[in-house]
Amino acid sequence: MSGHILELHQVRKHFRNFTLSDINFTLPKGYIMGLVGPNGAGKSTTIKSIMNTVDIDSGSIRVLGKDTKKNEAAVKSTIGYVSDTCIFGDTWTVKNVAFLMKHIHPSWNSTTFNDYVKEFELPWNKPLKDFSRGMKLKLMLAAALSRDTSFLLLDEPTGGLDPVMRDRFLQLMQQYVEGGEHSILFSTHITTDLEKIADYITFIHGGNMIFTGETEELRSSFCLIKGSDRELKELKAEPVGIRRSSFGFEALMRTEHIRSLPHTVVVEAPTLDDIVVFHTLGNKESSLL
Amino acid sequence: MRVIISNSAGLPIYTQIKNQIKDAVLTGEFKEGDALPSIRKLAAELRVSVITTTKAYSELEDEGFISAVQGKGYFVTLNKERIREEYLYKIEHQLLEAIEFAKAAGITREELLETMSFLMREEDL
Amino acid sequence: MNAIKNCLLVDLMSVMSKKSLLLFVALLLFYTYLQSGPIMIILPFMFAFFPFVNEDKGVTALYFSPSGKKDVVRARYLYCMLLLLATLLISAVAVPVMTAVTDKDLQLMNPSEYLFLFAAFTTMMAILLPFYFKYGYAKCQYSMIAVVFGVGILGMTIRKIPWLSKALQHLATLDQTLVSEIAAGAAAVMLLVSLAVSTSIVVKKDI
Repeated sequence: MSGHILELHQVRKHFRNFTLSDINFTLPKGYIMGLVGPNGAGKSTTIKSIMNTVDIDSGSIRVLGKDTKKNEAAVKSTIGYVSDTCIFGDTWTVKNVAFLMKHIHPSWNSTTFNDYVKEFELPWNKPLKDFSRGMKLKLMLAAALSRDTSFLLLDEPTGGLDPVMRDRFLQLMQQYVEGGEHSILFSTHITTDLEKIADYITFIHGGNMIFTGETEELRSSFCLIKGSDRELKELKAEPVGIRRSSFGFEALMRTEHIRSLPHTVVVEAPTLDDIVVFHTLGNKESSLL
Repeated sequence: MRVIISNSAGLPIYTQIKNQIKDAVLTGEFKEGDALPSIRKLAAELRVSVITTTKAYSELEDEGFISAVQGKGYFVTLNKERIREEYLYKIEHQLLEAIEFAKAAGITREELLETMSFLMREEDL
Repeated sequence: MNAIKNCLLVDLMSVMSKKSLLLFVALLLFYTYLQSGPIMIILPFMFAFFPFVNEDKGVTALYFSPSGKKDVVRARYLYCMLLLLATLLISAVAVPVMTAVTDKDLQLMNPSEYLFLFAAFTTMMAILLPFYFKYGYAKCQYSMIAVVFGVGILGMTIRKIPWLSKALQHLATLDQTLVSEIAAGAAAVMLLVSLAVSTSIVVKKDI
């Protein structure tokens, strides 16, 4: 068996007005990968493809070396899934969830679950429809962490969490991979959380994969430049994305073009946010010049 | 050991970690044979990615400050030659700064050397 | 097998958690008391679509249970049949008890009446379930009303068409055991076809 927890090969899915195409990436054991991109980029579709709830048109997805379509049940017993929409019934209570999970998963650990419920201050007997978004997330997280899994699949998990819980969440994620046997794939558009703890980043935009690799490599393959309109005219290489104001411009460039830049522009290292934002802005404005 | 990571330092995070561990070794906070936290433990403690700490450790290993023992983790190795070199580099760096200051203030070569030998006498070198 | 059991548990939880199980039983007993007869079919019918109400398109068990899409569908069909079985069992116990403790003289249905009940319920499930899997609860909730109206209109139409109503009258004179067996058999076949249709719908569907 390979050392990869997750392998996506040439994954393609066509919808009426959106196509996810040629998604290829692998996630090794023991690491955290962030799936980033603006809303509607295809992050959720990618994650649902891994869960096989989205039926891919072509390509293959393997979890621990097993094809997800052919071994649906076996694959899912190793995955803990958390999503920004609740996966449990509206009328259920935390007690109901605990009952179900205990009977469904042989590896379910009631003590661990009880501890999380206590820590997250979740009420045992309240129907989930009265839970806030953050509470639902906490419940799903507690459920995912209370059984033996080798892979956490998290779809926008930090959206409804306050800063304190977000911090705790990141800590839990790092503890999860600490042993070196477990991996995490999580999609988010709040990249500040991710920037530090993600070992790998896969960046999707408009259904296409822009980048997959080490986080540092992504950041170092782009640079953020700032300057005046006059300097913008001197740019020889096409920027990836550009934002203009009455005081000048900011643009994201590929690092290989750094030598061709006018000497007077300010060059900075971009954050992940910058990279996502500028890809979305595009360079339409610069072509108008 | 104290490791502080700054987001505004301009240095990559792995370099910051590397430098601070190096300082701990140089100042004698870490003794020869001391065990370092594991790569994954350190990553979780510092809230940084595993790849970042891996990179910091492997550079420290290349520079001879720590060495990996299979199955046991990382240990401080006091490579005397290496540390001497590191100190010499620091001395050069700081003397260079002193020379720059001297230039800027119009202090002569003689004056600078005199200050130097006076300070050395005071410190019994 | 385990995968189906897990999904079935999830389906049952939708009924349990609504605290409607008590209501279910209470209503059933009440109806049984009023008249032990085919009216009780309303009850399993009411609860059959509960699992679709709660969950996003009725199959979120896929996200936390080690089950495949096929398992979810099979479990849902099994769940509906279990509802019918529970209804029939409860009435079979309730009728003698009611007769014993009250002054009403209730009669248990005869076997062919049970078979007719099974045929009616199964046929409705066979027709409706694929639609629920395809379009989800929100779009299908009116279909129940449509079915009730449909049955009414069908009844009126039959009465207006002489040869059809004659055929039905003729059917009533035949051996009821045989007719009920044929009806039940046909309904069972329909259910299996429906299961295959629902499975192919869900397997291809993006949730």
